[in-house]
Amino acid sequence: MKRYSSFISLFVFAGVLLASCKKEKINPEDAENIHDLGGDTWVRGPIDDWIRDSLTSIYNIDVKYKWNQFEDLADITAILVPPKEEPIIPLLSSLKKAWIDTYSAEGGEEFFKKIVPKNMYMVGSPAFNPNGSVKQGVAEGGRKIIVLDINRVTVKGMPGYTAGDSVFFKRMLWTIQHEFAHILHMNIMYPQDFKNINPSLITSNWTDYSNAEAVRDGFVSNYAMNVSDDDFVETITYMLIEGKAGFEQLIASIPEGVTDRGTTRDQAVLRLRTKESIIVNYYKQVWNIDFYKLQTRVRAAVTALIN
Amino acid sequence: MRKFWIHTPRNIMGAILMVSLAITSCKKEDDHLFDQSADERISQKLEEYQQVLTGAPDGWKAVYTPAAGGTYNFYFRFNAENRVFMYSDFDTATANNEKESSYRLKALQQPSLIFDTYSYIHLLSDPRGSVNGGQNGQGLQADFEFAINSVAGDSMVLTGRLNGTKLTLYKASSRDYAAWQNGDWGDALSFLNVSKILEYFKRLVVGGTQYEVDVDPVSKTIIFRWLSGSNLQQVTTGFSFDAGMLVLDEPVVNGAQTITGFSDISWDPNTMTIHLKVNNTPGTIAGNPGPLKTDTDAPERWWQESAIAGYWQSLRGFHVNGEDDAYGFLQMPGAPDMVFISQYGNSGGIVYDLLGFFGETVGFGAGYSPPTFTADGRVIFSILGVLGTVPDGADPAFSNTALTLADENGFYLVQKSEKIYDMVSAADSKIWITWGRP
Repeated sequence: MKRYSSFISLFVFAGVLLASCKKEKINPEDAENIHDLGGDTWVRGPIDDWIRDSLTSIYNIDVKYKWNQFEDLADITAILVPPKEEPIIPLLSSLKKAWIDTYSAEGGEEFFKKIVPKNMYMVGSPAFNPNGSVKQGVAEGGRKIIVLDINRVTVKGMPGYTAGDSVFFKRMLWTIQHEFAHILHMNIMYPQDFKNINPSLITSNWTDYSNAEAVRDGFVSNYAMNVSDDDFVETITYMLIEGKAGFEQLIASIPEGVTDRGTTRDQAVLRLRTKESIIVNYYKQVWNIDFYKLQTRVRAAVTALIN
Repeated sequence: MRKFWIHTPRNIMGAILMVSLAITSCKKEDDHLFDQSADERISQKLEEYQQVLTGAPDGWKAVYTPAAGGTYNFYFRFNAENRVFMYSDFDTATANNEKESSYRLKALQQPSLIFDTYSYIHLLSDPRGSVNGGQNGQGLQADFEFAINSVAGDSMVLTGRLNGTKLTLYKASSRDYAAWQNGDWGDALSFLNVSKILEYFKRLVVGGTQYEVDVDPVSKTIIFRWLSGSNLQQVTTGFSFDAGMLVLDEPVVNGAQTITGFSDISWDPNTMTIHLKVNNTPGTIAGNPGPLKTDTDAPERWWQESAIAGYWQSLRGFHVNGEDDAYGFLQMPGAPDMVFISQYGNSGGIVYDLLGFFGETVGFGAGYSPPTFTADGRVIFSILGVLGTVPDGADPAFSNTALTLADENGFYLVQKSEKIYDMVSAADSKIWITWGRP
């Protein structure tokens, strides 16, 4: 006991000594001269101005596109590269039309400003997962969306755009709509009924199934089988981007017969219809948004942007 | 005794600690080792480096080697508005077009230079293998964030922060810059059009002397073959580019003719011919239907060596008319490996060879009667039958591959290294397949 107490007194003594000799006060204005504490600046360019004028000043969304080693990338540990500059404005402007403008129109600008993640970080490459699959977007706790793989994107109107390139923009929009839907349910959870639709078919081995197999089991995509949250947001994303007609077409495409996991055609259709109706109610009751109107707007924007 | 040993050092330590604390904690401000704060000094250092980078009127040049290997030339011009202008000998497009992107200097653990939007230097780091020939998820293990180690005279030494690669920037001259602007580097890079020549055999003719050249643009190596009397000589050398030139790592010495590299390089897309000069003597590289000298023993050697590993494997299938994997073997369901196994089995007394496709869930192939080895160095196969069940979707890749191998004119074999042979169609040298073993 004695040994410990002598050490404590030593530290107390030293602490007093230090405090008593302190003469300088910290001036808060010095903070901006400290690097990495507001001190990381560059000469503004047209991209910075566009982001400020079109996104930051209106929606308070800060979009970062310059590489930052210390950016919080959630669980991504893969090797990445920064984005090309050329697609940034065309891509953000297209995303604004098919995502920000549509939700703002149906849910109101205040709703959108409240829900929208305040930070976006853009990355040029996808994140290669150890299993060979690639990650194209991550939503981090409702605060931030990490948008990956933008160097692949050529948007309508950009030099060299061909109709075939529309898949890349659609995939990017898919990522954003997917992550935004996650943020909606992170704010207010969807009903438990949704989780009860097909609990036994949820699997982390979703990559073992093709999209076509997933549809026959009553999912809009194979990724929707990952967890219920992904089922919820993938279904929303599919319905918004492909539109009502696209969703009906998907349902009509399910063939007769029983799948390997024992799903009949009628069961698959029922599952998709139940998901649709829970989502429509959720949007109405929780966010006071008419989902079908939103769907019409998003689909119209997508059609205009890819054709 | 034991107690004494435990306690005394601590008491001494305590005394030293107290004294030192008393001293340092009462230090006055004007006793600082440096007369500015750490942040002020870092800012000043970054400012100084910024001046150095932007102060080179004709920019900077560098020869850069990613951790995965290869040699790449770069040219950088920095301005005070965080913009950098770049050329690179990565490919003809990067050699001919100056690219503008963003950079900044930042204090990480050390003052660092970061290329913070995508440009030519990022082509080497890109984790998408299709961009640079590296592995997916890996790229060529290059860097685009560099710690600045030192500035001395006309150079700046930097170290990559992720992969530890070295980058030394040297001040460029106006001639260095002009060489990029005038397209001298682009001319040198036009040598890479050699991959567009459709024939497998590519003949370099200089002053009446003929060489067979086999160029690998990814590893930047060239195999030269020539005749000395009736003997075929072969050397393999690496190469790099310089302004207006291709430089061989090792000179090729053929009697009185020594080739150290090529200059005045241009590509004629109409005749699919590269024009160049060797020591000021004009020369050409063009496709050729056959080899300079056939290795007549190669087919039988290759066939026998199937027994060493038990098989020969092809990673990319048949290359036809400039297209890799022209039959789409890599798209086969079940992603099988393609192998050739000599004397695989016995069917009705015939010991047959197998062109097999084996995956986790599939196994099928074509059997061939014992091959014919011709005196002029060809091997000829004929189909005996199909083995196993060919899965849906494996055709026409399977049947095209199996039938091509059964071409009645047969194939030449070219040994590229101990464990790699190229098999080239005798009827049409625009068709070939590479076989390798572990």
